[in-house]
Amino acid sequence: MVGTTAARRRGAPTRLVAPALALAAGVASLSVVQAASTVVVTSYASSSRAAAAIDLTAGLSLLAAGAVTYERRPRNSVGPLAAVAGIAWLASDWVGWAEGPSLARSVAMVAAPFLLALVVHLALAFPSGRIAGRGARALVVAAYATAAVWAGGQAVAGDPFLDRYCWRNCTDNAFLVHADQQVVDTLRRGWLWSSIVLGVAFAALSIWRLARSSAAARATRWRVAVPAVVVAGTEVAYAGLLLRTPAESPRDPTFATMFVVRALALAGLAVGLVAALIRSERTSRAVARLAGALGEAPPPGSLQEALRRSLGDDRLEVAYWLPSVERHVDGTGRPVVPRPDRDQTSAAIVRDDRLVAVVVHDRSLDAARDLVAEIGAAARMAVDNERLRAEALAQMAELRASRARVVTAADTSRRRLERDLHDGAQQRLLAVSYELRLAQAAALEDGDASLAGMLASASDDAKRALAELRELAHGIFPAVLGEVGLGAALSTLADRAPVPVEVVATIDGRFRPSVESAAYAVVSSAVDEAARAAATHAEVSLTLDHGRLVIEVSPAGEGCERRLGDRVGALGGSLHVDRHKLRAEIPCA
Amino acid sequence: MRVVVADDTALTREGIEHMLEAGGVDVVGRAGDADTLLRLVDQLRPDVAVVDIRMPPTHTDEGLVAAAHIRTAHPDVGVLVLSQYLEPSYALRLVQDHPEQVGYLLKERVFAASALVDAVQRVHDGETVVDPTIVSALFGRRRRDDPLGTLSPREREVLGLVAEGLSNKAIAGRLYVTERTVESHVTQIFLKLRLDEGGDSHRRVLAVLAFLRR
Repeated sequence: MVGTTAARRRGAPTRLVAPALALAAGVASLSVVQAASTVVVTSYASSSRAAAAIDLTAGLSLLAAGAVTYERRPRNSVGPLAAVAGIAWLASDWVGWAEGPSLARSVAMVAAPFLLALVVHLALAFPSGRIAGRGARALVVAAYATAAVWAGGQAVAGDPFLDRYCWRNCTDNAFLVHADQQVVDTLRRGWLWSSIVLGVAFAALSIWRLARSSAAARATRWRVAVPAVVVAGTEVAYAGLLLRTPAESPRDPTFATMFVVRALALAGLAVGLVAALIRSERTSRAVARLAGALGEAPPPGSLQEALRRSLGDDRLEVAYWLPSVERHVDGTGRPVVPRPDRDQTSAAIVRDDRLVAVVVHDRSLDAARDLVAEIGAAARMAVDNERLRAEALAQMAELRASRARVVTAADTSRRRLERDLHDGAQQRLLAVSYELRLAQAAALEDGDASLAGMLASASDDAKRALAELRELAHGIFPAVLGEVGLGAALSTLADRAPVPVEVVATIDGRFRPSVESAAYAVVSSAVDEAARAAATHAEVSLTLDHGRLVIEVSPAGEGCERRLGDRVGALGGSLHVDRHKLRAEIPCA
Repeated sequence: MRVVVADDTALTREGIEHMLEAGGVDVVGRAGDADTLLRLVDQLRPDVAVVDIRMPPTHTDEGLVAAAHIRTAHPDVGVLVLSQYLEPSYALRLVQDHPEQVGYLLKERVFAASALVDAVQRVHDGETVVDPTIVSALFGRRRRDDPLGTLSPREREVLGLVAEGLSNKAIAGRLYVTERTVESHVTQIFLKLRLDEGGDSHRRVLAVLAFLRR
């Protein structure tokens, strides 16, 4: 979108230059082809009307594709490269322009060998316009260098008159310095061999890159890479044919066929370029629509989903920055670390110099960069809403975790208190009652009956204190719950309950201590409430339902709903009380 | 009678030893944890092991685990588990696994006159011992359509003593009646509660405890 706006800004006259040039080159080539004598065939195009049509289709479609790409993406080198490749293709016709000026034919002779290098460059630079990777750059440089050596050598040392295989141009070379046919022949063989090697290397590199690229990148890249590989294949075949049969002739069916195949492959490349452009334009339009929609109202579902759909990138992620807790969260408030992998890159959404969010997206998506730029301005509300929601969710998650920690801490301290009572006060009191017994025995031995009686009564008091302490410890935390589990603890609860308790269903398995404690607390409180409400009995059931422990107590007493709701809610569970039944669910997976 | 005592609190252990020795029982070994206890039992082959339910390292149910070990490895060694938990589940677990020559006694009873020595003696004699407080807790359990309501007071008394693990002869001694009378009471009780009296007195204890917990 940056491209289109920039192109629009430059105004109509400049925009028309590229198409005009393309049109001029086409018309000129057409006249060159038409002017060629039909007696001596000096180009494929002049061999028949069909050949002329195919020839011009290939050249002009590349020119047109280049012009259109340039018009939409003026800063991208792919457009100019395609146009120049079209010209290099058409240059072969100009070489065979028998009545044409010597300079024009000589220039065309120098230009024609660069076709393969241009196609390699274009394909490896697609879609960004920059060549990524050392291998790819080396390949492009090598392709240009070998084309330059051949074109230069041919220009300096090639006298067409001395070339026994000449057919396009057997008279003119405006650049000739010193004719040396042996050098030219050697260079030609070297050129043809290097074309084969370069073509094969390019095809291999392209296929490897296509296979390695992400799905999102591949969706665009193959439209150019595949036809470019086909072009390279036809150029390799053409070079091989020339090595075997140096005497080229449009009338030779093998050469004629080869010409048609090469022309069609180039036309295919032009079609691929335009198709890729259309796809990218469509993505841009979708993104523009999304940006517009975001500006008006937040999209249904998450921003991340909307961006994924619009950009065709399934792995795109939006991470909101929460300055209060100094971390990123996703749309649901879960903490995330935006970390782009090999195929991805990240873009920051910044407002008023403050980071709002990070979008991690596929490297190949130009549109994503534009989108991020647009989002900053247009989608203020949507992003803010989403971010606030994410922040609220993150705080809720934090709160939930904090509640769970509070409950767990309370449980833990109750357990510790019970243990301390058991191992401390209860043991000490036992020792006291033992010593009282000893003293009582001693008093009896001494015949002090009144002292013995007092000690006996003290000893009974100690025994009562022990029993009370035992009840207190059990009330704080029933040891059997921690050591054996819910099932045994509920049996004990039924032993002690103030009303008959029927455990109609129970579970033998163990759960997290916090879950067991909460479940026990629910049953214990609910049974007490039922007793307070003068129920004749209480029914308790424990069941498992999809990773949730379901506790049901009937009849339901009133008054414990809030407290138990807090307790169960702290573990992410829920509590429901109606006239007949109390039902609590606690996640326990 | 030779006894090994295991309790991790030295003071309590000494008290237990003293009570036992005062009652004419020979304390041949002392342990502070379950491993030492098992080793001592292996070496000394006592008549009875008196074991604290909660011992190192985890301070949970080591005593019960050790009791099961001893009863399996040395069927002739009785085990009396001492506990501060008024917890029928624990007593049932102990009796369920090995109903003979085992006992579950609340610690607070240990220093009451002859209770400890009596319990050790009963375990040694092959009886089962269930602390009366546990039995009365089970009796106190609220029930819908309480089946115990069909029993006469005397029958309830007999049932309680059966649950404590007493033999008919011992029950007769306690209630100052003939053993014959006790037998007819027991038959009557089991009929009313639809319990199977069959087998020995240990199975009988188990059946009654399980019934009381139903």
